[in-house]
Parts: sequence; C-alpha cells; structure tokens
Amino acid sequence: MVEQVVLIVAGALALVSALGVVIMPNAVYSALMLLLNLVSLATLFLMLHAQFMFAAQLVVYAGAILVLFLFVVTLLNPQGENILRDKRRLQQAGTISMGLFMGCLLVGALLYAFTNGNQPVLAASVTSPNSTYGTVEDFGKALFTQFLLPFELTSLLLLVALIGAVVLGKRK
Amino acid sequence: MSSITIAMVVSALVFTIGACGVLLRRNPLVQFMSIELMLNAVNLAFISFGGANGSAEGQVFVLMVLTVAAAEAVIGLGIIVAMFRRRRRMDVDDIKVMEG
Amino acid sequence: MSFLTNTLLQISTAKPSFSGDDLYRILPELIVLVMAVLIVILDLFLPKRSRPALGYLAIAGYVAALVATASLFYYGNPNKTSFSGMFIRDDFSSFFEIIFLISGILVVLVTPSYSLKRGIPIGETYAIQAFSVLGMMIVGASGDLMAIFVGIELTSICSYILTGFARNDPGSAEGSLKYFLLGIFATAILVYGMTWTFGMTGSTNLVAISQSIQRNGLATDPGLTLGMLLMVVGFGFKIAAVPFHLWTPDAYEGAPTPVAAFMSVGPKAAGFAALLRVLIQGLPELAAQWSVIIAVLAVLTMTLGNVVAIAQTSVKRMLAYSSIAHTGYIMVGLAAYANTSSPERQNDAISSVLIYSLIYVFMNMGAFAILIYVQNRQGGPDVDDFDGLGTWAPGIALAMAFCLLSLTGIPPTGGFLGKFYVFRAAIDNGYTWLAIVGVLNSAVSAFFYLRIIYTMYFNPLKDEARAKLQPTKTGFITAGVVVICIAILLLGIFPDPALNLARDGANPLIYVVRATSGS
Repeated sequence: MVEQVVLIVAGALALVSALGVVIMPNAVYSALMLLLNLVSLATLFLMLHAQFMFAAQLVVYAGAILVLFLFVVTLLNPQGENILRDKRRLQQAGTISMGLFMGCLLVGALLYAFTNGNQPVLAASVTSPNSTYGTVEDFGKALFTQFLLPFELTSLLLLVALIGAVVLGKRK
Repeated sequence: MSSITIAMVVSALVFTIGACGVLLRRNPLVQFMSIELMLNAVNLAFISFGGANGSAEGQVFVLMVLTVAAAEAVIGLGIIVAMFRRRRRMDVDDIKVMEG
Repeated sequence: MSFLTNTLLQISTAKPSFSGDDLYRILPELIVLVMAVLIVILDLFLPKRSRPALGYLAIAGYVAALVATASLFYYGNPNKTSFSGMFIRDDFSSFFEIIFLISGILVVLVTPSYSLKRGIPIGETYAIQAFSVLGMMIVGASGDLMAIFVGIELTSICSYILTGFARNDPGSAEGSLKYFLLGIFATAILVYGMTWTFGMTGSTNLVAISQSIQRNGLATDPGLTLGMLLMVVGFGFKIAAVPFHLWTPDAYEGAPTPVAAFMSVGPKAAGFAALLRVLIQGLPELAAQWSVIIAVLAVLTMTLGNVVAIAQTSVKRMLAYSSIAHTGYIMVGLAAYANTSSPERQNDAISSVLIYSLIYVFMNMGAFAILIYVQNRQGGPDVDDFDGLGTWAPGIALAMAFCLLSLTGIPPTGGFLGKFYVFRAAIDNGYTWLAIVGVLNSAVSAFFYLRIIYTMYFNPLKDEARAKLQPTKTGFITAGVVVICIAILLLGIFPDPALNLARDGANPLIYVVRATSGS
C-alpha cells in the first residue's frame, strides 16, 4: 500500500516537473525542474526493483549531466522566453494537439498491451519478478557476459566525446 | 493497476511532454533539456518493460542510453558554448532549428 | 577474507564470455579500432607540419581491414553470431563493411587539401572519421537492437563533432547545432521504438524478436506496430528521408565539404544497414505494414529532393538535396522486398539496395571530391564557380561530368545499373507505380545535374575570376578521383562480380527469415 502511494506521488511529481521544464520561462528554472524530474524517475526505478539503475541515475544524470547543464545555462545566461505569451498561437495549437494525440495513442496502446490476454510476454511475470531481479549481481552478470560488446563500445563513445569536446572547445 | 502499468503510463506522458517541448521552445538549451526528458522516459520504459519480462536486458539498455546521453551532453553543450562565445547574448530567434 | 577468496574462485571458474573465434570474426573492426587509437596517440606527439602523414596510416588501416574482411569472406563467412548474438559475421555484414571501408578510404583522400587550407585540425579529423567507420561496421554486423543503437550513436556523435570542426566558419557551428538537436531528437524516438519492440516481444535480439512475434502471434499487435513506426521515424532521420530531412541541407552546407561528402555516404549506408537488419531480420512478419510506409516515404523523398535541388544556386546545397533524392531511390528497393514470398525475388530487392549503396558511395564521393577541388581553387561552392572548368581543368571537368551522368543514371555508368536493379526489383514485385515515379524523378534530376555540365563547358571563366584562381595540392584528390572514375566505369560495364557479391550479401537475411519461419 505504501509502495503504491510512493509510486503515484513520484509519478505525479515526474509529470508536473516535466511540464515545468517545458513551461518555465527562465532556463535555470527549467534545469532545476529537470533535476526534480530525474529524482522522481529515480524513485520510480527503485520502486520497480532496479536498485543499481536508481544509483546510476542519481550519480550520472543528476550528478554529472545536470551540473553541466546548469553550468552552461549560467555561463551563457540566455534571455527569458515565455511560451505562454508567445505570438505563434496556431503553431502552438498544432503542436499541442499533436502531442495530445500522441499521448492518447501511447497510453491506449499500453493499456491494450497490459489488459489484453494476447500478451503472453508481458503477462508471464508481471505479478512476481524473480528474487534476484535488479540486484547488482544479476545486472553485472548480464552486462559482462551477454552484453559485453555494447558495453565495450560505450567506452569508445566516451572517448570520441572527449576528443570532440576538446577540439570544439579549444580557442584558436 | 499494477506498479509497472503506472510507470509505463508516466513514461509515455513524459515522453510526449518532452517531444512537445522540443517543438514549442526555441531556446536550444531548453530544447536539449526536453530531449533529455524524452531519453529519461525511455529509461523508465525500459525498466518497466524489463521488470515485466523479468530479464536484466532492460536495465543494461538503460545503462547504454545513460552513457549515450552523457556523451551527447558533452558534445551538445560544447557546440552550444562554441557557438555563443562569439555572440554576447543568446538570441534564439537566429537559429531556426525546426524550419527547413 | 573468505569473501575475497570466494570471489576470486568465482572469477577463475567462470566461463569466459567470448572466445578466440569471436575475436577472429571481429578482426576488421579491431584493425580499424587500433588504427584510430594510434592516430589519436600519434597526433599528440607529432609536430604540426607532419600530421598530414597520419593520412597514410589511416589508409593503411582501412586497407588492412578491407583485406581482413575479404579473407573472411573468401574463406567462407561462418554465418555465426559472436559475443552472445551481438555480432553477426555473415556475407551481409561483410558487404556493408566493404562499403564503409571504401568510403573511409575515399574521405581520407579528399580531406587534407581542404582542411589544411582552412585550419581544420587534421589528426583529430582522421581519428573521428575512423571511429565513425567503426560504428558503422558494428551497425552492419549487429544482431541485436542494443548493438545497433550503440553503433549508430557512435557514428552520429562523430558526425555532430565533424560538422562543427570548421571553427572559423559561423555556419559550421549553426549547422552542427541544428544537426545535433534534430539528431538526438531522432535518437530519442528511435530508442523509444526499441523499447516498445523489446517490451512487446521480450527480447532485444533480432532473431529472438522475430521468433517471439511468430510464437505469440504479435504481427498485428498495436504496441509492436507503434514500436516499428517509431523506429522507422528514427532511422528515417539518419538516412535523411523526407519529411525527416530538415537537418540535411544546413548540416551539409555548414560542415566542411569533406565531412559533408562522408556524411552523405557513410552514415546513410549505415542507416540502411540498420533498417535492413531490423525490418527484414527482426520484423519480417510486419512486412505488409512497413513496406507501405517505406514506399510512401520513398515517393516523398525522391520528389522533394529532386524538385528542391533544381532551385539551388550552391552546388553543395544541391548535392545535399540530391543525396536526399538518392535515399528515395534506395528506399524503393527496400519497399519492393515485402511484396513477394519467393526467395529469388526477395534477394533481387535486397541486393538492389546493396549494389545501389555501393555505387552511390563512388559517384557521390566523386562529385563532392571535385566540388572540394573547385572550392580550393575558387573559394566558393556556387554553380558560377564551375564556369569554364572544362577549359582551366579539363581532366577534372571530365571526371565531374562522368560522376554527374552516373548520378543522373545514364548508361554506361554504374549509376544506370544501380537504378536499373532497384526499379526492376520494384516492377517484379508489384510496385510498378513506384518504379514509374522513380524514373520520372530521374528525368527531373537531369535538369540540375546537366546544368552543371553545361556551366563547365559552355560558360566562359570571367577574367577577374581567372586572376583569383588559387593553387592547390592535388595529389590525394587526383588519386581519389581516378579510383572513383575507374570504379564507376567498371561497375557500369562489368557489374557481375559486384552483383554476385551483393547477391551473396543479401542471402543471410533471407536465410535467417526462412529458418525462423521453419519453411
């Protein structure tokens, strides 16, 4: 019961903060809203028994990526932009209605997938994940045996990003 | 509703909000943040689907998305800083990212 | 203490997650990796003026990898998966490896004269290009959504960086910002589609996905259809299909021209490799749905690319739109796959995509190489800068005319054969209307390709422009152009060896599909 409450509160917070990122006129507030969103999503990870990803989300996203964002926002100090007072009403209406349509489509497909009996893949274990699911041991085993190749490739990804950042950021 | 269903619905809505943010905002930094929202929604979806399947695949995929997001943040913010170092003020109307 | 010994015991008795065979099958990728890392390290220690020599190292690396691919191909690809299904060494991956390595070699040939003139760091350019080629090779050989995702992101991130490399040019930063934002927007959509596919089928392995779809009767499942749609949108961005092409003209225009040349062939071919792997190997049961979408996108892509290209005054922008149009022609071959169940016809369709991708690498790279030459001499990328090229650089003008005729699709060039195979596959498989649209589009494209040929031979070079002609080093570019012209001519006159290679390359996909469907 407590779990359900935490889940719903975290989910609601995630939605509100996501809206905040989009609506806030000041980019600093947007970044702070993004932080709130990341933390509430991390809470959802924990409720879904993904302990390791909970920690990784906090350390990598909230700890590293978001700090970088805040740093750049304060460095560049962009002017405010209030989309609630924007003149392009027609374009906005189009975007929002498209968004509503997409949201309905996604949620509809989801509810269909989870309620329809033809979903053996999902229905099999929705009720009881096995006991080792989500532990660091289980995760590490999968990462370093079955998914070794993509894991090694991510190191190249970071190396390339490093070289690129040095070249792009270098003054002449 | 099971907890996985709730998480999936949250993920679908956050993804939609993020996509709308990319199209509505014109500040490249905030557009970038909206894309981060979308990637986070993807992470949540992977973890909930992975939980439903009971396999670790979903979580491993999340780690990949996380790494890609980190690399992209470094590159993207590098590009943005390189671009606006030349101009004093960030005048977003100059770059019409969404127009062909 | 006992914890430590236990852990050590566990480590020492654990089965290794890969074997020597796995490393042997991934040999071409390893060679490119070693070469790229060597370039990064040597670049730090070499004095500035000897850095261009790194180009020889890059070419040596690509050629060595090409030899490794060829020998694996020659001794019979085992058609086996390595690294727990992540990596597939089959004829399909070998064919795409050849495409990627050739585009890597050609881009090294066209890069130095342009980059040195404009102060673009050359060592880093070679290194990042090599990492990009590595990412593409992984995409072509991956048997799992996760490997496809990481590989395609490696390629894309390299492209974002390379686009922003011309730091003296404000257009470069703007182009790369636009490319970057739209690119990662597409990535988010792509990976969300992968989530749905994973959620509905319970696996990220392509073969397991297609098996799960059959076993559980998911062919008409709305969630899976949604996943497929999202993935097609995501890959559509990567291959620059209309209406997901918005980034293309600005990114190409802002990027250094050699980078634009590279982006128009390498990452595009990688996008097609990923599309083929995902749609044909992973989602063959949904073929009826995706083939219609691909066909509609192909019509839009061909038509918009060609019509807008007519209005361009910059040759660089024109080539950007022309590369969009060629994406459309290749998509015709992909759409043709789905309408038939006979393996021969399916092979026709897939092999037409493969052979077109190969020919396209040569002809598009050739047109860009000559644009780079003209930019080095004249400074600008406009149609006017080609005035009288036939008089002041007759050999280069002849090569340009040859590449442009090939892009138009006029025999006896390779471009004609590419179009011929693609359209024949479409007609054979009941997409006659698509082939007709394609032929009409080729006729439209003749307008802007032939206009450049007209400019080169019939517009005189103005005297003030002649006075401003700058000297340029031509060694590498000339070598590249000669190789390209010979390749286009050979592919046009003796297509059989390449065609057989493409037919072999197409087989594994059909073989896998048939094996999983138990027929």
